[in-house]
Amino acid sequence: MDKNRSEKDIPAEPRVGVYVCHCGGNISNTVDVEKVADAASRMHGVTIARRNMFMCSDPGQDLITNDIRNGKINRVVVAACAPSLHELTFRSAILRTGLNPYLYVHANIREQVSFVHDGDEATNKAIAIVAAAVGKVKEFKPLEVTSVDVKGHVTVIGAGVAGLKSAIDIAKRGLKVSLIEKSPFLGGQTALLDKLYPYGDKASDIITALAKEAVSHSNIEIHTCSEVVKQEGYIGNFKLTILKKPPSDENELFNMDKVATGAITSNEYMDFIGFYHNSPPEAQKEFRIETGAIVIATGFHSYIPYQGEYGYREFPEVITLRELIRELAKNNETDEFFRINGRTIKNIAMIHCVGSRQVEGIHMPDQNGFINPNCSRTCCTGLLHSALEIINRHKGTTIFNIYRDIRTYGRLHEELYAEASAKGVRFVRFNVENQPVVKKNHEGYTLSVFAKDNLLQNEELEIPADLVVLATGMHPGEIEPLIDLLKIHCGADGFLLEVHPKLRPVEVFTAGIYLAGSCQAPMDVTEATAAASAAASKASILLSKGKVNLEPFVSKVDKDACARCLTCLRACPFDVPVMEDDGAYINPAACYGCGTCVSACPGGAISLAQYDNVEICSQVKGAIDPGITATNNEI
Amino acid sequence: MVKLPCTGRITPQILLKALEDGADGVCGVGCMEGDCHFIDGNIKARKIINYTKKVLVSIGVEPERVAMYNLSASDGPLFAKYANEFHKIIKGLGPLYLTKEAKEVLNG
Amino acid sequence: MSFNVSESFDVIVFGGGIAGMQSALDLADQDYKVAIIEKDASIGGKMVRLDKVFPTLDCASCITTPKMASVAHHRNISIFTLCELAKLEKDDAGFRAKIIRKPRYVNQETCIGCRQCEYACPVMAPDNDQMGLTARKAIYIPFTNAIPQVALLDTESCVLCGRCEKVCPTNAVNYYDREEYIDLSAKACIVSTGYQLLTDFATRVYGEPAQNPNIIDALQLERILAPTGPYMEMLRPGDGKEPESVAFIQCAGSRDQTNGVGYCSRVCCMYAIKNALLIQQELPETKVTIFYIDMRAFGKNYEQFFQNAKAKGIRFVKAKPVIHSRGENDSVILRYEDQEGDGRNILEEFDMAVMSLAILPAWNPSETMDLPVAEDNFLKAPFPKMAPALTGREGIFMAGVVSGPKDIVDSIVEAGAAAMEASNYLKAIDALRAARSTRIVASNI
Repeated sequence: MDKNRSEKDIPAEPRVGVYVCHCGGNISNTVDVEKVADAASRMHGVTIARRNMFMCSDPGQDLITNDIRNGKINRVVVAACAPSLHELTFRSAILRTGLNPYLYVHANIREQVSFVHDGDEATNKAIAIVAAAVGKVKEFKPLEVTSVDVKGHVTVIGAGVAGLKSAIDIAKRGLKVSLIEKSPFLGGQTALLDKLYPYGDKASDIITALAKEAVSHSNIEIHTCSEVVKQEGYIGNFKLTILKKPPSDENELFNMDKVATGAITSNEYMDFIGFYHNSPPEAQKEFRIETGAIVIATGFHSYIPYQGEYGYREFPEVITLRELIRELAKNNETDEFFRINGRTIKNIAMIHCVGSRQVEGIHMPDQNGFINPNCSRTCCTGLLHSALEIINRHKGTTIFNIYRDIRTYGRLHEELYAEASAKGVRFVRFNVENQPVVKKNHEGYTLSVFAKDNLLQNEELEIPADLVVLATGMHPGEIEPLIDLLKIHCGADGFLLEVHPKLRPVEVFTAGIYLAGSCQAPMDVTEATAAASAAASKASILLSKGKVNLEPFVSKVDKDACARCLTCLRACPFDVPVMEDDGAYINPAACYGCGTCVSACPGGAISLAQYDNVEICSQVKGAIDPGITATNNEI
Repeated sequence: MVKLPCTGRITPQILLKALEDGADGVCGVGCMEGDCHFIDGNIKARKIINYTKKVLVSIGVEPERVAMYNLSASDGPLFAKYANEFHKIIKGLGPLYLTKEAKEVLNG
Repeated sequence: MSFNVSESFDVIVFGGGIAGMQSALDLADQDYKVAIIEKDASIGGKMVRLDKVFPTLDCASCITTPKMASVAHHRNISIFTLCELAKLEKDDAGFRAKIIRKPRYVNQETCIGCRQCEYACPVMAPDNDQMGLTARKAIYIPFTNAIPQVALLDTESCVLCGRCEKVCPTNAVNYYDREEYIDLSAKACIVSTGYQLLTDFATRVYGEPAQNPNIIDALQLERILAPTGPYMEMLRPGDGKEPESVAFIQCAGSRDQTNGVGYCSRVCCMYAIKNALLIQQELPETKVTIFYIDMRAFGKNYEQFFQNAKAKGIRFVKAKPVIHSRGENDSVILRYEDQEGDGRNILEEFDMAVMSLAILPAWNPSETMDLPVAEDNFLKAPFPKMAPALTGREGIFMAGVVSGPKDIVDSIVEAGAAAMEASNYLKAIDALRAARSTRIVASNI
């Protein structure tokens, strides 16, 4: 931005341009946009009001930039969608003209108006919102962006496939990486699998390859048995406190016993445990990492059926898909029948959507009261992949799939479904309200599954089975402490929330933090590694420049008015203000811009860019009394 | 709807100014208590709103005209419910007329 | 083939749809110089021609057009529209691409996009940017948000009346424009050439009854629903009436080995639900039915979207219907097995039918570059689990539907992955070259 010009070009009198977006009908089908633009054109301070089908498109942006370049306006209001979507779009358009990009307000007349109201009510509310925005923008002052140096270092949290892939990508890019893993092993939940659909790649090969590359890369430092316990700092300059402690979890101790017996040594993979890198610490210790960006790759939580859910932990013959995979991996036998612990399995019933696609009133919530309405994406193909392995190895075993929809959506997934059908795997389709029931059986089989087939007019079928396999779904990872530490958010589904699923799918609202893999949504290994690389790409973009521009919406102390009363030091939730000889000082790079200190300061000595009393009150005044005059400005 | 970075930015001044400028009611809407992005801004806001209620009582205005609601950012339906609820309360109270004395107190 | 390199880049991206644009932006933001080769007159790909996107119901333009603008204004990105790859070769120095630039007959540098030529042109021709549902002039700007905002002349329909040349204020019209070759060099390539639909499916399989103007494909419906669409409202193409009943036919060609498309096209369930809801919103009285095999609402928040549609009264019928015949007023009569009922064959009449056609790759590399293709005709992924953006050739990466059908979210994520792999490749070869040149210098001493 041309600094001289931006300052020179702000005359005393604000000339506001209002641009109303139709949003391709999203707004204009409900709101009378013509009326809004007409009203806006008659508001005090507005010189131009225009409309466009898509303000965010290039021709739409040109309307604004041309008006600025022609000197018609020096303040911008865009009335369109939620600011989270396109505030940045318009800010960069304004920046291109040389005008200060912060002399602009994005008025939301879509999510707050057209999506929730109808008719005159909608139009009048849109006018009020535009008037409020005009009131606010008139009071705006140009803001300068501060730029700070960034650390060429990334911290990746979680060393499953996504974490490993992200770490390797970032390290190859020339940046330093700290890879933090809670357990003593690398590989995450993929290590609990064997052959991966659809190609049959071995999980062990994939994790070993990734882990070896990570371990041997000079830019990567691996910390197992470690967790983030404290986070300070900001984009480009995070300071993390890491706690490294000896394993205490029952399962981890069990696995470590294998290490102790010499079953695995350093830098080796062990089936269904993971890649063992180095020995866990003897005693607990804390250390700090200074890092420029954080990639979250904490994965998911595999749903565990409650006792009695489809007979789970009630009948030993009811197991989860993961348990089946372990059984299948035990040997490569190709007898007539599949066997578990010597027990012949003639019939297998596989029940889909266990812990997924749950419906209130039908399914039982978990201990946190959570019902998972989502599809877990991976279980259909996973089940069919295992079913085919059984059929291919044991011709005598018959498999029934009790399903709602078969969702073999990915590349070569449908082919597995077709092959399974061709090879005699049977399919029974149930409606969610007719839940299958697992009971003890009489004749020759241990269990029976009763299912109503909705392709047979909901006739109840009794499927005799020696084994029932439950396709347990993917639930959000249990990472509440981390969510609080990093100040990130979950969506209604419990998975980590991205800024926008399409515009910015691997970014979160806190700048400098990225999402990789199934911490964001259920994903298979292919999808998780793709997301991991995408997150690595975003971190590389941030750190490869060496500097980052910080948002200027921060608090500032007017030292002349500061009475050195220390109130702001106590009010700030992040301990940012410090007391200097001539008054309090707030580091703009560290300030979160919450404004608590502004509210607390008894002397009114602190101001928060764009959220000062004068701006807020002018916005309120605009909303209450739009101040529409009879004279029309240019539309 | 006035966007603030955090409800911790709310002051009695802002609330009262809105009433003075012609609003019949003002409510703060923040995150669930315990879930504040900025640790405890919403708790500070509740205190400020309760204090503002006292100011309103002292100048003869119904304290229900200011209120604090808490909900999570992903809960649109609850927001609509609260908005309608508050609208109903304010509608029940009718338009706000500030007496000359009250205005003087606010400006003084 | 000889190459006279006119411009050098770090990366060439083939295909300027959403995946290609995202890859280009990720690389350009790391200060790599990127060229986007686009066969159409505008970048934006399929996505910019869609109405709204699932499951957020954002308008597609709201997401695509700002990305297009970012690409267009990025100092590290050059856009080559109306261009196609003739040959890609690789040697020690990197990749050399021979690009054919098709004549636009309008000077891109001088055209200001004022549309005077379009207003003056007396010829009307089918508008392919509206899926042939309406007409445009022989000289035209492809669509309102096109980038670049430059006219092009369609010589097939032009009658050479000369009016456009006369009215053009900048003398940009050039009837003598010719196809030309541009030679570009680059260190790495990203292929993001996207998809096409199996458009001949209905007529090939169902014959005469499918030749009904009220049977359209999903991309045509996207145009009809779009605010910038051919009719500006939800009408059926046959007679311009509001349809009282609409049928969506899922898996039209997909999951059907007899067509050679055995795979699932992955996006059709969700876009059919989305379009059904949009029709219902615009025409609340219209009955909308989706005929499906399995409902594949597998992505983040997709299942709720599906359940919402059910709750809002969209009818879901598990059946694979055939187009039986043409009814009165060009209605569409479907025959299907009542699978969830008593299994009888049912004939049902609809005012309009929308085919969710199978997705095929838009481009096959065989003529132009040596790049392995899998049995499903999409590019082969040699390391699908560990590095899904890698192709069978070093230095060439892939993003989006070119490696199999996928939705916009997955395409954008993969575009980021392709950019990451490409930037690491660039880093590695730069290091290699630096090492080699030191060695040469050393040996010279």
